[in-house]
Amino acid sequence: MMSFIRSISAELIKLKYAPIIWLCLFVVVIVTVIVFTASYMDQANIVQLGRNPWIRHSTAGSAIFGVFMLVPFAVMLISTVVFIENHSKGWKYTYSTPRTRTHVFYAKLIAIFIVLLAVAIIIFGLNILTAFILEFLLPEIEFRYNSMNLNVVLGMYLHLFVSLLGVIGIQYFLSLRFKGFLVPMSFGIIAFIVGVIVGSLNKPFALYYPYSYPNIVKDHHMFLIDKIGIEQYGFFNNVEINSIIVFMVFIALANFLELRKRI
Amino acid sequence: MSIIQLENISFAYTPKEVVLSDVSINVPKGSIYGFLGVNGAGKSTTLRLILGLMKAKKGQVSVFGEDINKTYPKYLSKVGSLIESASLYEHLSAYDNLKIASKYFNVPNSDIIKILETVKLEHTGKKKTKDFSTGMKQRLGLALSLLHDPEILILDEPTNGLDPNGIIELRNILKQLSDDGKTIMLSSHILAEVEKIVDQLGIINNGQIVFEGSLQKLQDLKKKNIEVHFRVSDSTMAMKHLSTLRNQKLNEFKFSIKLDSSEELPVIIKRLVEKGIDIYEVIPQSSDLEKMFLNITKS
Repeated sequence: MMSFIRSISAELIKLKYAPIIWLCLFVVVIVTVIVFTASYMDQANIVQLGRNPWIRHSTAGSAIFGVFMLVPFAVMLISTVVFIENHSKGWKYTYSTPRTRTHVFYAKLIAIFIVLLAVAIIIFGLNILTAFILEFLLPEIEFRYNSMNLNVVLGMYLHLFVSLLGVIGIQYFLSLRFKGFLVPMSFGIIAFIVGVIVGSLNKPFALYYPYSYPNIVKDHHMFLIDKIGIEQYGFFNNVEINSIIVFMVFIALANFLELRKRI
Repeated sequence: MSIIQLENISFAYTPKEVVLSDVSINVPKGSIYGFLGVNGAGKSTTLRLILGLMKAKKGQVSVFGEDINKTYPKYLSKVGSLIESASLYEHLSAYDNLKIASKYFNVPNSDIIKILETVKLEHTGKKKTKDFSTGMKQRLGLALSLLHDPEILILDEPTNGLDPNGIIELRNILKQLSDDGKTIMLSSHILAEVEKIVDQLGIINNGQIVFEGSLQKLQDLKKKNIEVHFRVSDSTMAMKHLSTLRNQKLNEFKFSIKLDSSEELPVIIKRLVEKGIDIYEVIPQSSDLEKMFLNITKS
């Protein structure tokens, strides 16, 4: 277990000073600025008697992050993380260490999850901070007299993350198959644009298109999703279950091919 | 005792593209083993097979006396490698690159400083490796392979891109490592580069081992392959009288002969004199190891 933690740590060191750090910063800043601006402009809807302003503010945060930023960010993150290894011709060294390929494979995947989680936590934290700034600028919003329902907000982020798993699986598979980052990244970005369109069409086939899952997993009030056929199975819905299945299939396939790759 | 042993290894990227054919190698423990061959002969593929980066179709690779299929990847904790150019994360410093390696090999941070001193890169600080010279990059690659104090060091063309000073520095480091009891296997396509430090040699050509043995054995082979140029009054006549020997006309007055031993030379001179051929000059050709290597790989 300790050796696996050390391998994850090695993967995170590889990201130090890499362009992906600037991308993370960009995503964090852009989401925060948009959420702040949106809440500021939308003050008439936020300030409603008897309604908790935190709900609208937090939903705006997760919606902007989830619908517009999460998939392209994940696509670029995964492509970059794998490309660092390709660019440095690092596979031959990494695979000449006393670590199995599966071990390295999962360490890299966990490192991707850690970066995604870190970005989500920072965005969440800054979301709260923008609420306090809004409170200062617009005292009538009255965040101070209401409390954030942490379970609901964390639940939103968790659903977003689970719905993204399918995209993570596909992109990780593609990034390992192609030496450059252009193919996986271009594919991911185009698939994301199609995903936004598919999600907005309010049709059942969105259930079979993983790149639209973060858009439809929860009602972000961005599109109508009532005719897609989303069904709840306990905590998760069928979008999330599909996402988990896609993730497992592509991760298993990627690992299988990685074990047979000639370096 | 062989610390690395390849037995009848065959490997092909595609059924038509056979890279290695029945290759057997024995690297004695504590030796510096020079693995020679022209570009594309199969050197890198062989080294990659030893490191488990690829799997052989046929045959067995044993390291530390055990089949690597059974000991992979554990045996790699005692093996250091530098395959072709160094694998460096160029956006990071030398220290960070070694820090990554230290995580894989479970080496304390204090060893990173020590190894940086060994390869004379301790002064590089936060400088990114993309700004390093080729020699510095290669030295860092060597540091990466030495960080965990391996028993075996596998180096593929380690002098690539190094200037003469760099080559001498590397040679000194390798000699020191050998004195410390490490086994070093290094490949090269230039014999002159390795003949000064190796004690064992393997020569590969077209995916087959054409020579394996000590440097002394190769030098003995050299003594048996002497080429002498003669300047005489009539080379055609001279060659006619020496028709049983391996000779070649160079021009009207010059011809060359390949001898199996130096004892043949007075016999030839005597015969030519007896046949009335005037001998003006006898020029022994320098048959260095490089020529021998070329001859072996050509044949």
